[in-house]
Amino acid sequence: MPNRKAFSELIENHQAIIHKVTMVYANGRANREDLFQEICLQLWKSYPNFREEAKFTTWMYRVALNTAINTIRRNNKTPSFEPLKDTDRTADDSQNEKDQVQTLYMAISKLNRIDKAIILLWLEEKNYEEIASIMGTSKTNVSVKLVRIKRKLEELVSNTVKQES
Amino acid sequence: MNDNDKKLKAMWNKAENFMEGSGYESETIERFMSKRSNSIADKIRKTLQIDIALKFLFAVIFTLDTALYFKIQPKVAWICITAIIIVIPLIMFEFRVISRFNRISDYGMNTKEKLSKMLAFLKNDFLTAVLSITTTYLFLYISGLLLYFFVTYGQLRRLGNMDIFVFSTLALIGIFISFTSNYAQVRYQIKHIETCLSDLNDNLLEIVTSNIEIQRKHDKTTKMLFGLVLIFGFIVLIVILKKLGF
Repeated sequence: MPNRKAFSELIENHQAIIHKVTMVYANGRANREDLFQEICLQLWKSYPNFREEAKFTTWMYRVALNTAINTIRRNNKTPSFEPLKDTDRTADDSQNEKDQVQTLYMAISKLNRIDKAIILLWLEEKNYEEIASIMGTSKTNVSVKLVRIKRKLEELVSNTVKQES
Repeated sequence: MNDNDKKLKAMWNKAENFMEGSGYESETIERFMSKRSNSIADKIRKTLQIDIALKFLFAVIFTLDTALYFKIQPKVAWICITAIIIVIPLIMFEFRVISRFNRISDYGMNTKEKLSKMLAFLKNDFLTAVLSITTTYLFLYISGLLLYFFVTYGQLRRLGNMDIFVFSTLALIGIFISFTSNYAQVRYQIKHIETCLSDLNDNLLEIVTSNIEIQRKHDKTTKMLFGLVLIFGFIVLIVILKKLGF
């Protein structure tokens, strides 16, 4: 087992995974940071049980998604989506790209917690077997659910675009 | 992959450019790892730990009460000994619940397993633990009252009807608030997990619920033991109230 320093460096290298999960599950910078901290904490606590049978990144997705799914606030059941803010890294990006990403996040934010996890894994290029292994369900179930989620997401994206235009 | 899939993935791939604060240093991450958790799991663990500490404290007060009353009112001393005999198994039961909980608190298992185990824990172990936690108010009431009477009057004296009414009402309010607040929290969490399991697979909740029922039947011995402890507690309260002149 690595020490805290080595483990935090490992997380630093793979932090994009946690950021993607927080973007999908939490609204607003403060909530995203809270969730990021909680995921880091749970990763560290769960690491002694990590078996090398799975890839480290697959295990990271499991911990991050389980933390996000199980983190509920009684007075914040359906948060409204907060627009993305410009960052230094996006200063030169076109407004169009930003709008597209925002539309996608807004649509994903309307899905239920399980559907969010499945679509996130699919968007992250995980194959059906990996998604099934992370979610603990069958490949067939993943495939059926993905068809439904993608259809729903496309509807939500087109509705959002219509509303904006 | 059809055009819509490609479009969705293309949109997603652009998302990385719009992430805020995506460059945490390892020192910051190390700091995050040392922070206090806000998860429901840690709240449950803390609730049980605090309750064990309180029950242990009341067991000590009952021991003190036993020593104080043994010469002047031996019957009261025997009631205190009975209370200690009831508190100890409850402390052991709550320790067992924490140990079971630690086994399921790993977030590295798959989502279905995590949700199913958490649901089984909340429906079986923790609901029984909530009842055990509720009894703490009873022990607080009895042990504190006995100590107060000894310090103030040097013995357990008879009370008027109004005194008994006020003391009993306060104890019942404490018990009621403790039970409803803990139960409401568990119910809310159970509802959330059940929704997630249904969303994961239409038939999953049914299967998990039937497994929990089987486990619940296997756990009958614990439940019976716990029921006996509660009945004993109730009898102790009645005896004390009678002694007080009810």
